[in-house]
Amino acid sequence: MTARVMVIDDSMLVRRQVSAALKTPGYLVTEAVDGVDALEKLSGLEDMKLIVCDVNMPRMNGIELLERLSAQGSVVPVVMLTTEGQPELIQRARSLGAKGWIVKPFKPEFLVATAAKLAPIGV
Amino acid sequence: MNSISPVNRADFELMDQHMMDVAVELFAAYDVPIEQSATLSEEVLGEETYCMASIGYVGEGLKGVLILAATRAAAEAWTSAAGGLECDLVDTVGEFSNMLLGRLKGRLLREGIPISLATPLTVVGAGLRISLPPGTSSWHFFEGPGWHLGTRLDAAFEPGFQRARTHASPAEAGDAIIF
Repeated sequence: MTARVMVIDDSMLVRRQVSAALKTPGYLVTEAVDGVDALEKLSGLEDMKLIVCDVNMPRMNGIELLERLSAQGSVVPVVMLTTEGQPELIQRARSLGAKGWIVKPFKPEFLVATAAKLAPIGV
Repeated sequence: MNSISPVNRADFELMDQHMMDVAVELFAAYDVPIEQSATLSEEVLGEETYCMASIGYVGEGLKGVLILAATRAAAEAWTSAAGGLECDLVDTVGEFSNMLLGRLKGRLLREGIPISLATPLTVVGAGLRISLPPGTSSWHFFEGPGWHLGTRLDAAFEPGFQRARTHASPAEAGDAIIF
């Protein structure tokens, strides 16, 4: 059994780091480079269990993506993974339905534990 | 530093001190110790620079740019420190500049200087040179094990710039908050 996770970040380095961390316990990882790319890919993937999303990205940032997902009635949990730690941004994300906020650089074990809580494999 | 009003000099020196501190902290978080270099200069680093990343920022009465200049050996070392993943070195420099300015943003927020960040722009090439800043500016040069990096912080203050009286406490690097 496995669960599908999407990582959205304009940095290839971060996408690779997140993918490596989540593939170890068995997650299937789909990568997107920004909010626009994510929405396109999400429309073809109905089994998404978790989204890990950057905030500052070109074309569509993470907060804008949360707004779009909220408007669509998405129930996929979203965890923000960003260099930002501004309380207003964190509160804005929370009000839009985000389930967590991790400040880079992240500890892989924290990310895996968060994923296990929000999208346990095999459930 | 270029000319700057005495009123804003203290603000910029505060920003610049945090810039130096967050650079050391960021690389320490990846177990990559760096030390400030007394021998490097913009000219010397310019000859060796492989990649530069810049990110703009803006606040109330304040705007500027952070530039991170890295040698190829530095970019390779950072990619290795970040997990040794198969990755574009230019992207690595861009992401480290992003983390650097993100940390600085947190520090400045605590000092009553809230800023918003753009996304990194990276360039790669030989003999890269940067135009003069519109306001005040400060370079810092660092040495790692076998490689060099430089940071330049530019800031332009508008007349009447003042630090906010209320200082927020942002989430710190490595924090994980579950709602």
